[in-house]
Amino acid sequence: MNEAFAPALDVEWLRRVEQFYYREARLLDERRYLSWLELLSPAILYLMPGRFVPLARASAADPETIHAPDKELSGYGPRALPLREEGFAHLAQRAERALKPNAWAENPPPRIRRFVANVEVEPLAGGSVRAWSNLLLFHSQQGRADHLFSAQRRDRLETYGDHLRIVEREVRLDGDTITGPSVALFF
Amino acid sequence: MALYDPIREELVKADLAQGSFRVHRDAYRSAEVFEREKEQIFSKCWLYLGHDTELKKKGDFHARRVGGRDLIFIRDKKGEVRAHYNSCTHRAAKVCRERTGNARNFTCPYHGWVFSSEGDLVSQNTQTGYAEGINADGHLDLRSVERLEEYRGFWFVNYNPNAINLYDYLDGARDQIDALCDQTEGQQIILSGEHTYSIRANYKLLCENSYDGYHLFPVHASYFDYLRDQMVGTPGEGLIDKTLQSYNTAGCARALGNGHAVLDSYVPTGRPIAQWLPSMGAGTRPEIEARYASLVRRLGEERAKYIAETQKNLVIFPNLVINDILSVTVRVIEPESENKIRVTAWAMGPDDESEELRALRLDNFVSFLGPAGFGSPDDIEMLEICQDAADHTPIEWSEISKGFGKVENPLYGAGMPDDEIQMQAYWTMWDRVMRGIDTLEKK
Ligand code: FES
Ligand SMILES: [Fe+2]
Repeated sequence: MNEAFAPALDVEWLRRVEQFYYREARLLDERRYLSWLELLSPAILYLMPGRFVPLARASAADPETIHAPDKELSGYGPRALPLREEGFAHLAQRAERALKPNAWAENPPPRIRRFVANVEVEPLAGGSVRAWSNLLLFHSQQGRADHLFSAQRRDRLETYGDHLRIVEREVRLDGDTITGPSVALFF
Repeated sequence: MALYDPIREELVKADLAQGSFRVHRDAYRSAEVFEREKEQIFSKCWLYLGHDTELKKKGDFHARRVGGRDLIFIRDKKGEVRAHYNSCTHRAAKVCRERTGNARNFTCPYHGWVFSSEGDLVSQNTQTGYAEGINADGHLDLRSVERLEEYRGFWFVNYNPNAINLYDYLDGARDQIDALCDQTEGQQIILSGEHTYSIRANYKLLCENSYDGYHLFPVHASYFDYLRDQMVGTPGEGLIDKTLQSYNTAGCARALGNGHAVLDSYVPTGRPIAQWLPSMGAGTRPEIEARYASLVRRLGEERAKYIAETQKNLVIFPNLVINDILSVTVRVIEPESENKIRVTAWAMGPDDESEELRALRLDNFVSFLGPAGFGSPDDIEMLEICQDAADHTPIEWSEISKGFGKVENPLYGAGMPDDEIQMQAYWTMWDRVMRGIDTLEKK
């Protein structure tokens, strides 16, 4: 299959996934972190790679791979140092922490608005889908300069009862230098 | 910018009789002071460049900014470690545009001059126009840094050709590096990858924060709640509160000479080196106990206990932090201006540990120490509100007096874990170097 062309559109899946993302973004924007947890599979893998600037290596066989973004990623597992590699328990702790008055980075809370765009869906067997989306996150905190974060999200969603839930999410941030508290947010 | 005060001669004031140790806030907020720091502190002190194990193979390199200067940290093709200035001797272009990689030589993208990994100019990419032997004196080779020395795998540079040796500069900090390296019969290595992030604060605010026992409970209460939750139903439950109650009496802050200092404390996070806790999982227990036994065998009971059980937060003057706590991080703070820093952090661990322990170590690193960790966001918030308030109020002094006055020479003081004697040592050294009292030069 030529990857340059999108497959025939499965409109129903696309709508479902888009609506799922819009609802998810609204829950998070409204700081309903505990409700957001219900959108996650207990087996969720939440990943954020570190990114670096590798030495460009040309490949005669496939010249397009010279600057493939995959080469810029830190990887995961016991030999790698990503920015985040988290399971459900970890995310649940983040959610609880974000609602505590003594979590100083969250109180007073930043105003955050998430914009989800460029949604692509690829249905898989067994009622799950792979989905790509772009995320623009606006972050504003009192007395601070506003921030914009741009990222690509690569998700796997599964059907659970009547709903969708997230089984895997990889967040690839685009910024070259990260500003401290930001990567701890929910992207 | 200095707000209401012209640059002052005296930025650090120690009054023994009053028990007061104060630092003028211009030291954090003034662009003039920062300019002077570039000339005094960052041109005279030994600055951390990188670790030997980051250059595994010949040709491996990292391009880094150290004290405002762009360097290439490289193992040349003969195996020797070098640091070149990252600028073409022709008309200045950056010869290395990647952050990391492996290279036999560097080709300048502008006019094609080629430099070997040793820094020698090997081609000017032309047949004509240059006098024969124009580089006979080597002035067109990549420039090497003035001084490059290492201690147990930690490479430092110094831009003053007359600086004292790294060995003498490190003074009592050497013993702390030993305690870290001796954790293993193998070698401490930098684990792959690094974290880079920026903070809107003066670099000295992060140094202070890195070994500040006083801030632990006010700032990190939410982290201790998290630790406690993890231990519910295990024998570790209750341990948290018990150790936290004895925090003030169980450890100490020690100054190590030349402005370096360490905070030794006991917080029950578990240490993948040789202190096992139930929260680390039963599977890791035999390995950790074996490691402890090896420490005792090699170094004796007392030293073994110190190495295994003490949480150590070390600051090597002026901007290197080594936290040997629930994971080991090497963290260098590069100032970009008086109120902005770029932090680069690496995880370190022994090369002979199991996959399981390594995974735990990295997980601890990412979940507490990293920019997305449970500890960092709250610390960063504190640093930024300190900077912001210092920048926008006329208050002259910060009071850093806790534990002050117990010793004649603050460069070698000692006190409680939540004292501020480590900062008093730092600022005493800072003041001496800034005023040229201590030139850090060979006599
Ligand atoms: S500037 Fe490097 S070759 Fe001209
Ligand atoms: Fe802290």
